Amino acid sequence: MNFLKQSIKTSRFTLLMMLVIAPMNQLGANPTSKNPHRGLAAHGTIPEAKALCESLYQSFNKGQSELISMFDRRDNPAGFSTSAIEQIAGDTYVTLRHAARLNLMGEPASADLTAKLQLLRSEGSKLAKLHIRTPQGSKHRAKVLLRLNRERPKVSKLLDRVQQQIQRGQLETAEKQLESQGRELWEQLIWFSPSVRKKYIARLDQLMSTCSSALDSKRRAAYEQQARAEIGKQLAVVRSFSADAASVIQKIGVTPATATSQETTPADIAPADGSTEAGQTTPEDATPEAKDVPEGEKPLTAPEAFEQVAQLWGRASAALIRAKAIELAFIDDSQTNGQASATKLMEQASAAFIAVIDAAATTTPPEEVANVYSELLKQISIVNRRQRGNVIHKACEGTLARLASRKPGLEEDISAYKLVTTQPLLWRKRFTTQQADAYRKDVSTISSLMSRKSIPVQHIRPNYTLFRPRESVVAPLKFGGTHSNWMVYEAASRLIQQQIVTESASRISPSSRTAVVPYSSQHYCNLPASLPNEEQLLGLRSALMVDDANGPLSMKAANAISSAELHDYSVVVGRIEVVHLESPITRFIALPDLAYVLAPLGQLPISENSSIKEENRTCWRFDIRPQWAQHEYFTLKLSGR
Amino acid sequence: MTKQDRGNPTIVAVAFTTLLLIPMGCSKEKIKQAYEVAKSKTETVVRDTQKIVEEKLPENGRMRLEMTPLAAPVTKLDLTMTRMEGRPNVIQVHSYDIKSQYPQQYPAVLLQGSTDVENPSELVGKSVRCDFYYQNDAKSPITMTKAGSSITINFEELNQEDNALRARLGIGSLESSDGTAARIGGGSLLAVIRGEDS
Repeated sequence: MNFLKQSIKTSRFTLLMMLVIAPMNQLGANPTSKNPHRGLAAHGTIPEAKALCESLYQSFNKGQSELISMFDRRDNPAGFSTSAIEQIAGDTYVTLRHAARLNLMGEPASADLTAKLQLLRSEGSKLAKLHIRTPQGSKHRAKVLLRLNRERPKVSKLLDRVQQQIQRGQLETAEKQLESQGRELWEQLIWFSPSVRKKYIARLDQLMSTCSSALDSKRRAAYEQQARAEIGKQLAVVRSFSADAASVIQKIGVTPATATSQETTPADIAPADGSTEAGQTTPEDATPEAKDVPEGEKPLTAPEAFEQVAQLWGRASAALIRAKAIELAFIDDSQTNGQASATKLMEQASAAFIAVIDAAATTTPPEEVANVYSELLKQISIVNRRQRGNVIHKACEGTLARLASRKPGLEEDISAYKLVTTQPLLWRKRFTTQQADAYRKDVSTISSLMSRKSIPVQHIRPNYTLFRPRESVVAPLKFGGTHSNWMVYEAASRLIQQQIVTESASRISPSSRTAVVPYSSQHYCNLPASLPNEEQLLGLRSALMVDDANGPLSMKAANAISSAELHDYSVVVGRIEVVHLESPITRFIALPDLAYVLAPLGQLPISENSSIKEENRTCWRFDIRPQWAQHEYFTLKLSGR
Repeated sequence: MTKQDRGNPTIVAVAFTTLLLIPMGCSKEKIKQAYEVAKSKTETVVRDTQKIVEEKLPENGRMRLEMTPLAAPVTKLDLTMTRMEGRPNVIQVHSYDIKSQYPQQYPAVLLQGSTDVENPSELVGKSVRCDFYYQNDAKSPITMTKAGSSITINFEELNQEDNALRARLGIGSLESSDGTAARIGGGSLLAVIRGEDS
């Protein structure tokens, strides 16, 4: 009895929380620790999926509110609302079918919805059972049975008609009628045992099964076709990379290197104009001497062109990731090798970068060579970091040397520059490593916190689950074990305010306020990009003899300066502020162009062969409040955090 | 540079000569005479040898740092100047071969700054603001100038015989990689001017 009282107490509190926290409009944007009641977002590759997904979560929430409210009064089952129980039964009959349709639409939210709706239906059945044991319930059931029997011939006639429709191939019409009749029957059959239910619904079930199997394969084919069309659109962006890059390269003219802009956004990058048709031009075709920049267009400096080509590569990479994610959502036996495409794209990007520098090596006047060289090194260093390797720099070394040779004495200056900057960089790096080793040695990685087992501190599981917290994995890697809303809340209860150490963070764009730690081991992080590093940047510029007139002349120095300017840090220690739960499929299908940094350039973030099916995987996002950051050559302690 | 910690070479050499004469059956007086001759000759040889060694021993440079935490004396110090077009010239005062990745001997120190002066010999009477890096041994914390601060080297004198510059260090704030407070309260150095790599 005490247990029941306790349970009622808890459930009243939970209901109150539900009403406060879960307004209906918080749907479709993924559950977070701040809004744990949201449903999983739909990617909407099949456009109607978004509205369907939202309506299913709404229907579930409505049914669950009724369930919670009745469960609170379960010591008086005679007072249950029969119409509410019937509505849960009828609605879940239809919504479960629609959740299955959502699965055909490639939406990972389908599994979450199915689990929720099934639980709702079975809990509704339990309440129905309690009610029929009361005199009021028994009376109601007798009334329902009378109605069932009275309407049976009518139903039988309807099913005859539906059968003919199926035979004639009028599947959609048949399905609609079956759904409507099924809802009605379930509203009544909820009061009876499975054997009685079967007697009244067996024929409808059998017709529905025939109808569904035909419709499902038809729909699956149609959705797959739509998905293939979408994949085609994304791959067209990937294929147009070389032509788009070539058209950028053609705009390279002779202008001062100091005019480089940091504000360019992908929207500013016009695709190949009329003079260059997509797919016909390669970077090799771009004439380095080309100065016939289309009239009215400002010629680009080589560093500006390099930056734009890098953005095009990012855009193409994002498109390739989207294409692969759509493929994983819809096509069972993948024929395309995404990683091979990513590698090919990287080779094309290398060729385009070489072409940019070749153009610079041909057109840059000797007095501008040193500046252009420095700016190009900085641009290369940014791409190197986004690629997490040195492939692009290696590819560009030869042509960079050609550019340097345009100015007599520059090669000697480069050697001298390397000589005088190597030691300060080595000292600063060793100093930073010592500081960092001491600072981060007791701080956990997110992965290790995620995989720990512990008892959730708090939960939002409703009364009807009779949940008693027990030891569980903090952030599960699979959906299906428990509802996404409970999962995110229970993870957050153990993760919020925890101090963690992340791997390298990349700023989304030079003007963006956000940096991301790329997706790996089913999680990624967002953090504010702009940390106060002015003093450290000044120290670095002075040590590397960089000023407004003189840029860095070595790749290491360029990388040091560009990463400090862009706020790319190799390690960040901070506290978790918000936890988000997504599906990786949805995350990557909906990937914005600029968010290509979620995966190293030239690589796919999603595995093509893995033991957990991609649609069942979780993707955790953590919003981090930085407390300390490690640049390769300095550390930042952020006070007051 | 004299080394006084190896015993008196004259006494050692004379004792050795005397020991050789004893087994030959010489009288005490002869032995005494021989001892005197040997002593005077040996003293001359040792004196001459010492003179030659002292004259030919190259100056290695040195540095004494008044620093918190305490720094060990540096017994080798070079000064290298590097020139580049369009930028100030760079001087590096270093206790190890700056072309290698890591210092080969400790304590290791590097002072680096920019100057308009064209030749190291013209540094006399000039001050150069430098970044400072110091490590006592390969595993000890590194101490360096705080972001935004520098250490001034005041060059005082050129020792032409040794081709070395004598200078004093100014005071400055440092930071240590282990987080302990660090400061430089001055110091002196003699740095040998090395080939100008440029």
